[in-house]
Amino acid sequence: MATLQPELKANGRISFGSLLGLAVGLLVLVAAVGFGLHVLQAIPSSEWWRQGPSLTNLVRLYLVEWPASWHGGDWGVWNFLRPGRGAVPVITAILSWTIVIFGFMLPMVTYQIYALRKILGFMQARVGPTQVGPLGLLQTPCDVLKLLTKEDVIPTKADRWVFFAAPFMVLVPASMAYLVIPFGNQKIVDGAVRYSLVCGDLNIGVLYLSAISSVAVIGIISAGWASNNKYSLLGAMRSAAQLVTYEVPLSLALLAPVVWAGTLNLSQFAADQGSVWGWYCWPNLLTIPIFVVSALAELGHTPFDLAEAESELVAGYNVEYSGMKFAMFFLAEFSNAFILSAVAVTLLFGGWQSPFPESWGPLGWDAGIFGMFWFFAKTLAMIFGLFWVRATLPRMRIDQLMGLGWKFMIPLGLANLLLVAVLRVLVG
Amino acid sequence: MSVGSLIAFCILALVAIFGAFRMLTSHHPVHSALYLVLNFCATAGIYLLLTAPFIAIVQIAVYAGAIMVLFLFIMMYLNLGFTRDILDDKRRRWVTLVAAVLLGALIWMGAALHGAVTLPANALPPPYKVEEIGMVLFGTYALPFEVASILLLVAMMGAVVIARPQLRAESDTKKEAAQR
Repeated sequence: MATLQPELKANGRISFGSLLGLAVGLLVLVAAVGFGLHVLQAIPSSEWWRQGPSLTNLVRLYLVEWPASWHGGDWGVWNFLRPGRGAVPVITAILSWTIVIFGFMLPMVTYQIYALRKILGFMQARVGPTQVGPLGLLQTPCDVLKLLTKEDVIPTKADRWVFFAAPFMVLVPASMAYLVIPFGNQKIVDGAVRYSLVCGDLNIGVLYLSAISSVAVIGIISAGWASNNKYSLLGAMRSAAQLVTYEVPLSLALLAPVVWAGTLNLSQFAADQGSVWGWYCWPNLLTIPIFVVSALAELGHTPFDLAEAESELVAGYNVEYSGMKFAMFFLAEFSNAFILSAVAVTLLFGGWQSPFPESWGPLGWDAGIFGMFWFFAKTLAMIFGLFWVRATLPRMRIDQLMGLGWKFMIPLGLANLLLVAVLRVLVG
Repeated sequence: MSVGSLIAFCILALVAIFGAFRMLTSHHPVHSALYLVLNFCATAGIYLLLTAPFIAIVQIAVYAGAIMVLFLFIMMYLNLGFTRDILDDKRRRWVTLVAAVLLGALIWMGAALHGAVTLPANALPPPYKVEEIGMVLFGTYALPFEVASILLLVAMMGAVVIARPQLRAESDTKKEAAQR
């Protein structure tokens, strides 16, 4: 209000415009609060609450079934959009995916950056962000807003279209991966899905993930090339070489649990790993280091961050990018950290399953929101591990990186795959 | 085919044709490659409509994710320009047209022999299971599959052999220059 005061009394008297603005603002505030309270008190008596308050149910009830009752259920030409028709699972999946992207991914990435800065600060005996908001909690949202409102600079000699499209080619695959991540369990009654906490339950989830992630490389090299800058082109080459190299051991590490489980469906993976001794990490003990090393390389985290080694080089393929487009690359990078951790948790560490036996009461619950709790607890622990490595290890040289990838990680990945396959045959 | 999949098919087909057309007429090879990626993605979408998700995913992983990345990598690294020989040479243009027509006729004949020119209206095949593809690939067709991988291995070794003597010769001349 301190900044509002002089405005109100401009030229010594209260201006009409500012009073009108205040009145309208107050009215909107009252309406918003009233609407919020109304929605809140309506929730416990709603159909959604009764059927199990999950994202899928919300989408199904209010975005699919409620519209389906319009016009007495007959939509004429648009009948293919009605429930029970082919388009509906696709529409449900796309809608819930959209909700996950805008309601979850953006805030999650924002606070992941905050967590990274705080954790790195703690480990390096600094304090991290403290100034904006309590404990510096508003620092990263402010940074995001700053990036979004910054001037968008396009270099004069850049290839405008490719320069424009490259951030999308990186961000779209990164966000598409959320489609198959099981955030919690599915409840299936009589073959019909009552509720599920996965957007699209694809039968070829693991394949989908590896295919999608391999497309992002195109965006990175396009970004480096379209900037028309030697440094960004060299950075893109380094990034692309690194990504292409470590995609192979990463795929091999994904393949080992697939061989063990005999499925490619991520929700099936999570559902099959019942008790803590049934988690697939036990036969895959060698897979875990392979996965972690290749994930760090894919993300460009510190032992492998030579593509944008801040202390030695200019920033890599995204040198010429500023404002919102730079934010998109940044967003994709941190979102990939979450995705890779989530995939590791789902494939190896039981997904949404509780690590405690069911006899332990609430600790052993893993249905609905409890499953989501365990999923996020494990995933965030995994992300913390990645940050820990980032704060600890020194940077590798490019020839060491390539040598490690081609001469060590790929043979090791193949040997591990063979080992898991033999174990699978022996165990039966 | 329901109205929904018809609409989806029309959009995907238009995108695929647009990508292929711009791939041919672009002025820069990098643009051509990116339009080709667009074309591959649209084709993958059409595979999805035909209830063949495995083929769609493989199309994206292999063509868009691996082959085009290599193409782009090389083109950007060597900063290749574009000589519009093929499009500007009138004689070649005619040859290309004739070749395209012949290829189209060949594909049509092949499809006609298999009786697959017209799709049955409402009877799409059930979705392939990855397990079934794996069984067929490593069971019935194990030998052709392995022969294909040996072919790829030979091609890779050939590339290494072709590249190596040149590298050696270069380093030899450098050594000689250093000795002088």
